[in-house]
Amino acid sequence: MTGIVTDPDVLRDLRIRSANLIDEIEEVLFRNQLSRPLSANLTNNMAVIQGLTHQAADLQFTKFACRGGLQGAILFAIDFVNYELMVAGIVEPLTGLNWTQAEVGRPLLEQVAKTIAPVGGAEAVDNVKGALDSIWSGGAVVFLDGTSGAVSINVGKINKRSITRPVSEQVVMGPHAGFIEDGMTNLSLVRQRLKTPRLWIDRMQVGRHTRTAVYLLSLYGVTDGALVDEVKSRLCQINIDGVLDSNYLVELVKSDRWTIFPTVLRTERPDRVAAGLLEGRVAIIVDGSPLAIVAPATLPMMMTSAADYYQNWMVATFLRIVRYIALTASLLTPGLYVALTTYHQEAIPTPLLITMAAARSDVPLPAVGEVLLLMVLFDIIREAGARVPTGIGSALTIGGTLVVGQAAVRAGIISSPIIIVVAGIVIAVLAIPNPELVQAVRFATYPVILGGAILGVYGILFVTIGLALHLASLESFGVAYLSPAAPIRPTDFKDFIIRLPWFRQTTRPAQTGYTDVMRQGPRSS
Amino acid sequence: MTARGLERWGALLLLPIFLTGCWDNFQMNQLAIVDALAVDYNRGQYHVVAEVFNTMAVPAPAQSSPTATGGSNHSSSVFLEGAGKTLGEALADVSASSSRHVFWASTQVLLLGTGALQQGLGPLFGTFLHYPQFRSTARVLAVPGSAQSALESDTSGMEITVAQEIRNQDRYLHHDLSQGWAPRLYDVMRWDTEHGRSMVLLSLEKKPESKMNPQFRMDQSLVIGPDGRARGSLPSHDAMAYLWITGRFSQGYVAAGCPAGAGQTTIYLTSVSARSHVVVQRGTVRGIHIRLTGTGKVAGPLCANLSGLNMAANRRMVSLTMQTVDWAEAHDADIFGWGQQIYRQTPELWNDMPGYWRSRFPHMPVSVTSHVTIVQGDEGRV
Repeated sequence: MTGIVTDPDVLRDLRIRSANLIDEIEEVLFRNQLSRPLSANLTNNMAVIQGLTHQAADLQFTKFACRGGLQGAILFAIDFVNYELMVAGIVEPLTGLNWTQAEVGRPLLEQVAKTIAPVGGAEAVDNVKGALDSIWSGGAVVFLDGTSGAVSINVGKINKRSITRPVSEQVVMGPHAGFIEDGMTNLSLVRQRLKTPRLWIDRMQVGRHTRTAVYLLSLYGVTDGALVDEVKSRLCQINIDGVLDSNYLVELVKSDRWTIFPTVLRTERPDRVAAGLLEGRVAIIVDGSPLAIVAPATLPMMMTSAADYYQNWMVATFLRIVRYIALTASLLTPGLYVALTTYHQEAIPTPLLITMAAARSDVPLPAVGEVLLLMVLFDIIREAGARVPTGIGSALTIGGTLVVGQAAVRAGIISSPIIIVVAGIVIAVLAIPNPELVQAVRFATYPVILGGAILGVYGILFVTIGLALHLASLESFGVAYLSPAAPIRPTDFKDFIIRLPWFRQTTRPAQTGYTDVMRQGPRSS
Repeated sequence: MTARGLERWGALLLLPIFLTGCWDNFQMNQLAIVDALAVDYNRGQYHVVAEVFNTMAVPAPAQSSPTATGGSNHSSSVFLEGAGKTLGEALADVSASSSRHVFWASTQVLLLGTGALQQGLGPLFGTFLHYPQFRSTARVLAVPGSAQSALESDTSGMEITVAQEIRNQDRYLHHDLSQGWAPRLYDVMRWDTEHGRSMVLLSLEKKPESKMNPQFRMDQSLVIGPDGRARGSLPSHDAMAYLWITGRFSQGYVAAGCPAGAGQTTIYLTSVSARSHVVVQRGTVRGIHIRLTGTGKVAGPLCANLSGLNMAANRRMVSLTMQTVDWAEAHDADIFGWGQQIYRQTPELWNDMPGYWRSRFPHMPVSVTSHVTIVQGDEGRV
């Protein structure tokens, strides 16, 4: 039975299905082309590769001829290879050979691989995919006319910057080296600190298109094998087209995905990675990212600076207490200001109340409006300051200060006490050592303000309880986010708010270092 | 915790939401911040005057510049008035008289006129107790006559409020003295009337035609009986002994007669303390014995040897103390808290004699001994 379909819904469905079918057919054809074996015909190989890559501008075929007349070509990616090395190490030896067109076959490629390959090594390539994969890794692929297959010779050049100070985790005393975008360099920085065969490094490749190298580091005998397996399994499950930074992996592998609080530690410091490994954690280094991942991580870890371990333990303890005060202040102060000035004026000393009331006498906005306006304004200035070039940054600071600090008060848009409050928390929040926690606290401040505006201190209490419950519910690879505070673990208080001296820190953290508990032998303590 | 328990806790947490919320918030510039309150009673009505800070007179940071004078065109305070048959009605009337929300919590000074005191403290403080936002740290002062006249000042353009002026007097001139004289509201609320205690309120007076703000007056201090009504004014010469006995002040000057009729000299008491001993025999309070101890020095002419001056000074202190006790007994006002002392020492005895103390106190035998050591002061060396 035949007929003409007229129903628009059915037609639309058919159109979508046919479009999907075409896409699938194209994908299959593309894959077939990729896995196609390299033929003996040089021109044909060149045509296939150029067709597949749409004649990519950064790919170059250079033809050559041996002294004996054999034709060949070298395929490489511009700026991925050391050009001088390629010419001197591959092109010149090949053109000097007496091979003729009649001498075709596999042995020629093997000879190339064995005799003229530079130090970087060589490997045989059988199909188009193999050829393309190798050129993105710095290989020069040699084709010989009449010989099926090719040989890839590593003459790679790595574009990388030199090792510099970490941007977000600087210390006055202590090591100043920071990670860069090159994964191997980052591995070497960790290896310099852990010169032990127990440092195990697993290499994986993540990202269908980016094919990013990911290194999983663990300390054999110290890190729990189950933790390593878990992280490895989560990494293996990733099926994404590209990984451009370690944060891609963080969002894909971390335990609690719907939270603003960082549940893994991202650090630019190789010493923090080494310290994490010594505590029984794992680290992930992603090629192309200057930030390594340390997991599992807890909130107290985020409140810890690397400098804590490079200075007197009492000073470090004091600074940690100051940081916790700054954390609490930056989280609660704007909300408390709104609650006190709107609901609980009796809690304000009378002289201050009069001054504040006088300062607010001409302000049209309610206190919550003032606070939100100024908070958003400060966030805009801060965000803009993070983007603009250094030269314009000072102008921005002056502009922001003048506009917010002077003009807004004089114009009666905001009152002066609120500037003190917001400026205070802007400074206080910077005392938190972890930039991701800083962002989370900035975000969490807004619900506290709204809670204070709606229900006063009671509202703040509500939001704070909610926040505490949320934090207590988080975990990082099986470790409670608030540990050792919740669940309470007194043995780990040695490195919580108080940092005990090293001679008292004889054991690893119980939450991660249970495989090899003792950190120091009896003599050192 | 069971699910039912969780539900109960959840309900308890949620319930207070209905007690407060964004519907009852006030921005600070909507507040009429009360600094002082004067309460009078006449013609069957309570009259209340609230002195409110004029925030317009406070220089805002936006106006501050080297040329600005800080709101000198404005008076530092404005007055809100209200009247009603009860104090609550009068306070509500004050609230209604302002377009702003009257904010009682900052009240620092509470002036009570004679008329209001004659009505008794019970209705006054009962009302304040029902105003939860009323701060109980306010100083309570008595005003002979009208409290309103003491509070209202016609010195417009003053940079401080009348209440601030009163507090400054308290702070700089009478701080130590007023500890025992001008109790805070919470002291008054905790006042132990049950055990027969009377209270002394420092008085404040504004001279009728003076431009000056009201001043403290010791000689007009009002004694409030256990029933909360005024019993009379404590004479100024009795004030010192009252302070010694209650342990609120340990210094003072007394005039001592020189032996052999050689005139008088002045003794400066540097440290005096008193200890009251309640004599109980066979289940009855037989009397009170007061023992004065301490030191003093001759501040006037050294008109006799120290031994003689010692005796004269101690005699004078005994007579001063007895005079004060006599005044208190005559006015049936246990300002020394002896009833309270009996209750604390022997509660079972107190419980066995309901109403006994009220009738016994006016006739209670009291003895005084003084052992104050007088030394030669700088003046006496001349």
